[in-house]
Amino acid sequence: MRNRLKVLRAERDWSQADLAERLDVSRQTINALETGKYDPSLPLAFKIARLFGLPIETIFQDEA
Amino acid sequence: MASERGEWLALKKFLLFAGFIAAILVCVRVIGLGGVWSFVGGLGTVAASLAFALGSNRLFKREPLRPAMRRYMLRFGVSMSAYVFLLIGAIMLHGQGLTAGPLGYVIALAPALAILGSIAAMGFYLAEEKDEFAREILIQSLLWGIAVTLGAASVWGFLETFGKAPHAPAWAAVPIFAMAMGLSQPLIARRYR
Repeated sequence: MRNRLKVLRAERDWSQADLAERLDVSRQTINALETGKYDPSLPLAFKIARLFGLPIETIFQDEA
Repeated sequence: MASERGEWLALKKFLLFAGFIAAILVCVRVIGLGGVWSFVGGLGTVAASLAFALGSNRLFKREPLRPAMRRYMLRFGVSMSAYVFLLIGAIMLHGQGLTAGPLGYVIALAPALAILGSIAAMGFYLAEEKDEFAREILIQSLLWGIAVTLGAASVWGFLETFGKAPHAPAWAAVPIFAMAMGLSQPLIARRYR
């Protein structure tokens, strides 16, 4: 699934490690999410949305 | 500058692998010396494996060990050290003919108990790891371990049944499972890069 995580992170000038720490996940997880090859669980997606203060569907885009 | 650092990292990764293989070869030779040296070599193998795991976490993941992984490595290290002592001890006692009576059951089951401990450590890790992506990779590698172990057992089993292969001990399942699991992990993780 495509997402804007990398852009949102860059806007805040956070490294992958910074974002990982804020979400309490590993840096590997952030990397896998940003490549769009790993889809987060619903709880993690909500956590990401809350952190950026955006609705989930503006961060993750369904390609269908 | 960046390529310099990249080359340095590649060299470190190479040294990690070369060092690990060298350490294991030395330990196998030391185990072969027999007696007390068997214990030294066995514990050396455990120490080398843990050092390799720590080193690859540092060089490949480039972040500190997560708490669940630290606990797993501690539990794994303890159960594998116990395994070294119990297995070598059991072989020595067997050599002295002490496994003939009922005590033989206790001696035979002691190393298996340590292996059960390492399987439990894996279960605890899966339950305690909070990072969902790490859990996903682990689950996929467990499936690879299961597939390879069941496949190998079936192929070997039938070869043995029809007299085309010598008898294989059932305890070989765990090392085969662990090897398949360990080798599959970096390959699975690569798919998400």
